Amino acid sequence: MTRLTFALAASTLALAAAAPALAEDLRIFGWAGEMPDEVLQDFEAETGIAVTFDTFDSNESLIAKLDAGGSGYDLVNPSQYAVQILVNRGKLAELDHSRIETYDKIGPSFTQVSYDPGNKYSIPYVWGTTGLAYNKTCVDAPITGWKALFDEKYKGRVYMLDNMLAAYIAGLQVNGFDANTTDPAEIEKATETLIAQKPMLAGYNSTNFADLVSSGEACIVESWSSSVLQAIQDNPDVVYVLPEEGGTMWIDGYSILTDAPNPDAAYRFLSYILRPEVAAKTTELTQTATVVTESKALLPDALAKNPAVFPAESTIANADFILDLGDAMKLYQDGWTRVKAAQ
Amino acid sequence: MISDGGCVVATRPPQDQGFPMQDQPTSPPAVDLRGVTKRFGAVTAVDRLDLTIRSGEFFTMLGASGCGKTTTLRLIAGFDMPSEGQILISGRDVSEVPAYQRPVHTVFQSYALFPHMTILDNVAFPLKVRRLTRAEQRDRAMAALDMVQMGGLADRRPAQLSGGQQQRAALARALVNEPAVLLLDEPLGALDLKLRKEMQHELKEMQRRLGITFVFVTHDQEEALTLSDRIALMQGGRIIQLDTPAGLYDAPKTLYAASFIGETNLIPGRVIGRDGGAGLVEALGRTRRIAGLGAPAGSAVTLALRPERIRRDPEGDGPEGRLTGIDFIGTDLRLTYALADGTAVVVREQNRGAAIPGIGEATRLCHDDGDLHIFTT
Amino acid sequence: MRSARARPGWFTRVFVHGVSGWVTLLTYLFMLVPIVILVAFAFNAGKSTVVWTGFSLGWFEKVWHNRNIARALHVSLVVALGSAALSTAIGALAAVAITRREFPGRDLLGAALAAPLVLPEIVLGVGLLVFMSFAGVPLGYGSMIVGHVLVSIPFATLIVRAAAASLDVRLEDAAADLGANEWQTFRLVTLPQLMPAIATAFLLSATLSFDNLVMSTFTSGVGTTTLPLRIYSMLKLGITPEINALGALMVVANVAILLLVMGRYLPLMLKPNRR
Repeated sequence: MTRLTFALAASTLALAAAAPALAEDLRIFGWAGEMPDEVLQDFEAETGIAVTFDTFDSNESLIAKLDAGGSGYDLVNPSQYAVQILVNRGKLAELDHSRIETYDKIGPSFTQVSYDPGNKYSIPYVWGTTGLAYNKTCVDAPITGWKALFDEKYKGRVYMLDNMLAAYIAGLQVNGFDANTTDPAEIEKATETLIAQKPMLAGYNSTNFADLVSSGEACIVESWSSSVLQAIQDNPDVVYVLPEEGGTMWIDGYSILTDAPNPDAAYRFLSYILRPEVAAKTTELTQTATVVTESKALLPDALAKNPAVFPAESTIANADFILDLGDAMKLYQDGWTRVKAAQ
Repeated sequence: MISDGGCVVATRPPQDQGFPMQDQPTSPPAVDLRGVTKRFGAVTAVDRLDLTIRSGEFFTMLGASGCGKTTTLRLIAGFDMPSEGQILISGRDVSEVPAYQRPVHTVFQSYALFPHMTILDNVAFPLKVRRLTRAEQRDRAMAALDMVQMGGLADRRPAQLSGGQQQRAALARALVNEPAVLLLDEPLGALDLKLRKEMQHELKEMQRRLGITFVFVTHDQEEALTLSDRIALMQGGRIIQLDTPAGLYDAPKTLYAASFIGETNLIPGRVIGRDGGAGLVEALGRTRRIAGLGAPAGSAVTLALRPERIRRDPEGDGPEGRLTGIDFIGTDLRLTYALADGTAVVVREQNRGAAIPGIGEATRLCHDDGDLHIFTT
Repeated sequence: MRSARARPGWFTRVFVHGVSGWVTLLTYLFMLVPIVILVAFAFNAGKSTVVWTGFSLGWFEKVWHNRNIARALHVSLVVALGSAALSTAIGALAAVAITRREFPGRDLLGAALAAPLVLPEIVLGVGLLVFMSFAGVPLGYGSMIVGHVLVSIPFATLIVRAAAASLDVRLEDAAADLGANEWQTFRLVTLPQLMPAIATAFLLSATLSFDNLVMSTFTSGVGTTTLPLRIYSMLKLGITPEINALGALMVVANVAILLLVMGRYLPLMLKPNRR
């Protein structure tokens, strides 16, 4: 008994102590799959800074963790509306662009984003769009807009993203409203549209919808651009479109926390990842576009010319960002509850 | 208060029991209970008990279940604390002393052997908790096991032993530390009859050899009579008679004692008149003068008469009885007779090979007056 | 002699012999089929978890070489072992105290230890996170182990309590009678008999901790992302067979623990064995 206890205690300690100890540490809290491990290892090799990269599953988890205070991270990886929320709560440090050697590599369309003009608090890094994907074999004509998701013709073969803001993008834009509206009447109308759509849906799905559309089980799905890339490469019948009503764009950027233990390392990391060759490596390994325009030239054509990775400039200009909706968020949440509860 | 029943044990010299004892001509009693009461809520299990158990005697507390005998044993062991009164062991007041510091060990009815230990470890347990050296633990435990002829089973587990073997192991464990007093709580209750007889004999033998005071609890009157130097017959938390086995059997002081111990014919009778200090009782077809019987004329009495003290004698002067039942026991014959008034009387006699009488046969049933005990009801 | 067995009544025929068998079968199918599919697609050559494109061990290889998963596994193991040890120790002592001793607040302690069972884990998690930040305790192994102890302690306590309640009190009387003080009685008599239950409680606590997601979400800190947290965050990219492979490995690990508990440990502890 005593020996067993001792052995357990000893092995626990041994495991806990086995973490590597490098001279300097950088702690990042980010999305899984948007920062390749190879990039982190290259950075560690070049700088001698040990990187701890923890992952979260949603912006809300990130915000909750930071709200509690004393998270201990240097860099975080919020999406655009989460940047706004965190700035309002004083969690993000104002950036000194002069300390980011490669700041000028950021493409011009990403330096004046609406949620953080002038990149005061966040450096945009990877981006993508929310649109729709469909399987050519089950439609008569190319799909161009959200209205196809509401077309009775496809009853039982349509999936929506299981995500409140993503669902409302379609619900609002199909009615001709702004995806970031705070008008209660417009939100109400979108809610009704989504409830009316529910009987014809196969379901809400934000995990394997790409497989479903590729196999033909689903005809049209609401989709994040990055999620269907593999399906497009595997199956030429799968098409991704940014809808004519607009669609939305998302950006996951990096911000330094006000209580970051090691902001110097954070600046060095930002300088590193904005290098065109590093950005290209990121795009290649994660199949997600970065804001570094020059990196596009370093990519294979399959990626550089893929509209799901790099949509046409004209369609991007049309897309909304999902922003922090402030108090109107309550209206969305109430509406979403009704949508999910509806039969 | 203790009447000496001519007990042979009291004269035995005190033994060295590894416990402080006064070096006086008369050693203090092994156990002394003074006004001990134990209440569980509203129930009084033991009621103002005064009891002195002599050093080196085989003492039995006998009674039906619920009479307070086991509670008294638990009070002596220290598992329960008395509500009132004092408990002395070898002259030392242990009323407030926890069980593990008392110089007594118990043999439980359930044996209470530790299932996760070998028999050897079980027996060595009292030595282990006293931090004896391993070698000493082993030697003494083996000696104790050899004493109960269990040396060969030292490496077994309790579950691998028969009931009798477990009983011996439990006994060895309780004796290994040479306690001043050994408490035995119906230790033979779970054994079959043959084994029980064997163990009774061994227990008695062992007690005689070791000279340790045994305090034995049982509901089996035959066992109590066989083993004990003295018996306390208990009822309702009190001792109703404290006597030697012979005294208890031959001179029961109450009707309860007469009927609880051994087989007894209980024959109804009636006081028909008085003659000075004596009562005139009509029973068994005869009027008898019973000296010292204070009951008024007309009251009912019960006569107790042991079956083996009745003689069949066709020529005798006793009442006539007609044979209604025969139990052939082997060593004994148990004959049931019906008297003229319908009273059933059992007669017991040794089987000497004589012809067994037939059902319906009549004879006269005789007894000596000294064997008749009369109790007012 | 032939035993004259009456023909069962309609209730027995319909429900006991008929329906219950089918219900059981369907329940097992319902439970096991998803797991079988999950494991099967871990061997898929392609990236799909719906379309079978061929057999491959590639995803297991990918899992094996994934540095993040190795780290997460390491974190999960530390937290599982640490929290299970604490939870079992506290649970066992509390269980013995509750079943064996009379003391003021005994019922309250029993209820308090069972409370996490009925409180939503998310509430416990939020509460603990707020408390930790209020107390200025940095999040990490410590906070996560405390959180997991909260989750597993009702189970550890219940298991040991059940065992302690069925122990023969007379054995403790016997130990005291033979001269053992309370500590010796506990160490030499009570504890060894509780060991099978304690071992079970430990393994169950470790499994609960290893599989925990909600409490980990709130209490993890820098560098302490557990395996379930890592898997959950990987879901943003959709379900790939890499997750299936990881899931398959976790299923195997959990089944192994289960077999250890059921098939090996208990009989070993119950059977007479020798040091």
